[in-house]
Amino acid sequence: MIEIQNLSMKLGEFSLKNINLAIGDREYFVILGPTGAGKTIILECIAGLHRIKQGEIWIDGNNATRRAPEERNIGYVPQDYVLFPLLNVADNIAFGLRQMNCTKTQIVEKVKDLSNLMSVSHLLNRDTRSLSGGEKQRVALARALALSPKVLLLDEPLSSLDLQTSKYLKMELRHIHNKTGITTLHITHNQMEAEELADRIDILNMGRLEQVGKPKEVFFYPENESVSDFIGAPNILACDAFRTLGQGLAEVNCRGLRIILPYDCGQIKRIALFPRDIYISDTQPPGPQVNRFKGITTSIKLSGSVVRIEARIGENTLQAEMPHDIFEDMDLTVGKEAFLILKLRGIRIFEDEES
Amino acid sequence: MKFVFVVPGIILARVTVVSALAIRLLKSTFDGIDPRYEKVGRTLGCSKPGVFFKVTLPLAKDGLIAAGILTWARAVAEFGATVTLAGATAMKTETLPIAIFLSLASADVEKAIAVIFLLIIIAFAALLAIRKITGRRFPI
Repeated sequence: MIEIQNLSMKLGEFSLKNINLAIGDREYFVILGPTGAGKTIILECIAGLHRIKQGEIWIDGNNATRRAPEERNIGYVPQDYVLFPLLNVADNIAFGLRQMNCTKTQIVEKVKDLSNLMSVSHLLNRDTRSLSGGEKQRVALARALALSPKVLLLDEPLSSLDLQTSKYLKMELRHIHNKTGITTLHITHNQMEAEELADRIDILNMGRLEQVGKPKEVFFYPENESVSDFIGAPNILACDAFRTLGQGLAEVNCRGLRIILPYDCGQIKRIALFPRDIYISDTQPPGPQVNRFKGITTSIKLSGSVVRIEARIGENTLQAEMPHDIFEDMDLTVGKEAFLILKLRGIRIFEDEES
Repeated sequence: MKFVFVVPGIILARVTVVSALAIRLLKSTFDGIDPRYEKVGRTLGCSKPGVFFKVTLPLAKDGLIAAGILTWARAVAEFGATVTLAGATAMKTETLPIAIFLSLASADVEKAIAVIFLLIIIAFAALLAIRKITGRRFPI
């Protein structure tokens, strides 16, 4: 549905470098990257808001590189929604329909349908400046969907919402995508958001696409250090064997490390643990010896206000992190014994889908 | 077209003096509009000229009216350039500031004060109009 071929662009000091991307029909695709990675520029290139000098953009089988934005049949929801302040909710939704010279009956009908779909029918006469963040987002989506676009472009649609609203609207976005089947390109810097919504994600860093794949593939098989760093540099352990323990638990063996974890179904191939989910101590902590290991400290690095500690346990090396002030109270030095506790809830599992 | 000591001279002098102010006000009005409105307008079916007339201009309306009033108020009070180009001839090129000048020159203090009050009323009316139009968005 969307194909970007060899797209390069320079905007001041920033440049997009040879972007190649293919997004399938009805796919929910997320470009994930840190602030300043060039996500919005890619989105605006697809929308036709930048003149492209190098590369091509194809939408629905047609070369759209030189097409004006109004000829591309796309729906665009910018960051912070950018609703027209002089128009009420109904007029905002109807704006695009008016440009297409739709009849009054068609406009009324479509506004009604969209406002019902987005649950904003009770807000139609409201001034857009008085809406909450979640309401604005739904109105912006309705406005973008009014022209029945082939592609929906969402620029950080959940970034300015509180956690609760964002959680709810995430489900809404997925529901709308399933219902309308519109190919959706969503950009975000939020990893959880990308993992929950995307069919496939693409990591973008400093104007370069680093890795494309299903969310779990990218997370468990980062292709380079930059991707691994961006997703939080998790400890990834390959599992040699596993056995179910019942009651939703399983035990995996990762090169001699026996770890108990929550288990649903499938063959566990890899597990991941963020350094923040590994507690490390210089003394043996009391309590049951589940997911607790003794190792040797191999490296200690100060990184801002946190300390990253690497410890070797048999054949595995695990990275843990802790606040600097807590580290100062401990007697942890390179070569000394360290005790590690893996947080059960922090363990993430990559299962073999075929099984 | 003649400009010296005739009414077109008043217009030319005032336009010359206030155009810089007008351009500055217009620029700040248009600069204050988030360019993303235009981007959204384009993706919703507006052409480039279309987006100017249907999105930018309506958003700039208040600012444009305020700029117009401020520019007009500045033009009404213009004296130096007008008197240099159009002269100060009673009942011919006699603007309000020139009327004050001529009244004082002929020791007609009552008329001068009356015209001064008229100018003050115009200034206050302009301020009130801007406040009403812009809804106190511009601190004046």
